[in-house]
Amino acid sequence: MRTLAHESLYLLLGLPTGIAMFTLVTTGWSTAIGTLITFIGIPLAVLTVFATRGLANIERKRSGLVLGQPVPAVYKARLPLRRDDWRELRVIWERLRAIAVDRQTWKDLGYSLLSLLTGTAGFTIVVTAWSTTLALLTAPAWWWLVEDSSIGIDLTGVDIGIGHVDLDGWVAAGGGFAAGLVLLPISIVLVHGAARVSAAMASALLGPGKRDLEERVEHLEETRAGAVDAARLELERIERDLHDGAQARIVAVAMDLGRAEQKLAAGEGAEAAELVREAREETQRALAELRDLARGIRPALLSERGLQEAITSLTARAGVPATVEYRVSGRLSAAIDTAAYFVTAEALANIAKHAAASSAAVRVERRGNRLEVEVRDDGGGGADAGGGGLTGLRKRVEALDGTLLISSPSGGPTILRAELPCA
Amino acid sequence: MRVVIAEDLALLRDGISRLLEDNGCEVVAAVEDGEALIEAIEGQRPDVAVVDVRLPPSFRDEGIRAALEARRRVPGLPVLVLSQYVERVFAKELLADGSGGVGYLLKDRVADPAEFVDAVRRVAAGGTAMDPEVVAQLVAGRGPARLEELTPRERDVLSLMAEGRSNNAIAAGLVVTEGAVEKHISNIFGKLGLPPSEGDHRRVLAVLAWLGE
Repeated sequence: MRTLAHESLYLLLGLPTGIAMFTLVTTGWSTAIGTLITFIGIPLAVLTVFATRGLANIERKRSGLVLGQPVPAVYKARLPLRRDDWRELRVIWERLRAIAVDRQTWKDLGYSLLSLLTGTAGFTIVVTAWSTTLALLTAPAWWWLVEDSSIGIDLTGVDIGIGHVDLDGWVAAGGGFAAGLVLLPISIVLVHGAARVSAAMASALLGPGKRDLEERVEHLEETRAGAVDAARLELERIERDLHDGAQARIVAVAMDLGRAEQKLAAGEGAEAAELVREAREETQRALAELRDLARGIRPALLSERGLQEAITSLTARAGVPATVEYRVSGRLSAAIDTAAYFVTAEALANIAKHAAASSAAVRVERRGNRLEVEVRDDGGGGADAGGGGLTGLRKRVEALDGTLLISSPSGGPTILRAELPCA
Repeated sequence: MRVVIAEDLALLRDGISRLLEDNGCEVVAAVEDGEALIEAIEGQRPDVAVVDVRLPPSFRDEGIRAALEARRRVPGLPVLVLSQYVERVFAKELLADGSGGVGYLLKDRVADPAEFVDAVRRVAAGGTAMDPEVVAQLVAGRGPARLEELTPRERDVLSLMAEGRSNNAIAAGLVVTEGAVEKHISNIFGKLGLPPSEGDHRRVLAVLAWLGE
């Protein structure tokens, strides 16, 4: 009964959504193509794609009525709808390209064009089947009502869709009821079948196809290898830092103390004191390096006080004045906030080292089920996205199923943005 | 004694230079990489080269390779290799040509200037200076089966001998007479089936060769 009600509701809703989708894509695309030579055509096309996605998402949810759960969306490209994005030509281009090569964009379009046809068909089937069946089953009631009532409305003829039946006697009314009984299972099968076919189409066109799944597996394999690689590079870096840093300093301290001992034995007190002072200073440097190294592995402040304070502390130590805009409610997983922290740390370190910037701005914001971490500067641009630090960062972000976007045209500014999933 | 130093970290390069100069050595060149080391060795013909294992550009075993190359170009050139960790395989490579004048020490050993300078002098004189850690790894690599015939005292003597110590130094280290050390050594050679060798250095090389087999 519940299933049947869901299926009927599903088919009834198919007509308005079908009309909406069909109208949207036909008017949207024809207007966009018509105005393509003026610059308004491209934003219009993007707007159409975006609106189609909105309706497609409603369709995915509607299919959930029949399938038990909504059809999953598999968009690869996000839309360039942030105000900032439109200022960056490269970002716009990348996003437009991504939309165009995203198979789902075109599957959405195909679905929209078909949706009017399937929506109308489904609507007609469900309305006809139920109205006919109900009318026939209630035929005796109609006849009895009309016979006994004194209202005097002429209800001797009931239009039941398959023709005009005159209810002019017990026999006809009884016959109608019997026909209704026969029609009931047929209606159930019809509604069920129509709903299944329509939902199967939604699943095929709006959900992930075999190629999407293959690509997903490929992507996961790549990013997993990247994650392993990033971990190895990180360990190598730590080993190098230890070898050239604290370890070497402690060797130097031992050496200074050994020499000081020799000087003392030889009665050269002043020189011995100088060596001891050098050794003490070297110890302090070794400690500072060990502290930095530990912070580079997992900053204590991040564990103790969370991302906001850790990032604020990073900007306070950055080489240039930096502002923080932090808009995150709720808790983030440790993996995500560590990644967000290191994106900020690496970006600020790069700005201090290479950008020749006078200020930087950090924005950490949760948008839906995504965490955006953006660091921009007002420097000279020209950052090398393939450089060691940024490659490591990209692998780190991709390992979490995120994306790293770098825009650094010559002349600046440089924008580094990581988008991390945080469901 | 004229010394060439190859060490990429300025902090340690300067420290080792000063330590050696304090102790009467002349540092004729202090360089940062393997290429400069070979150049300095060919130009300066020092009495000994002190070389860090890890040098640019690869930061792996550049120093070992540079040292081996230097010994190939200047046969018999004494080389003392320093490292923050010891690897048996590096020790074996250094000992592979069977001639003396090699050393392989942990950098930690610079903490005792007198000992360190003694090791540099020993190597410069054609002897060996193996870090106790290296010897321990070589001994461990031989496996207990081949060493269990030795008494604990003989094993101590073997280790000290492998480090490159003279009979005199071994005797002092173990607080026994030189005569007793000589007796231990001849027992060790007998038990391990090594041919009796003349002179400290040859004996040490025989022991190291046996350990490194």
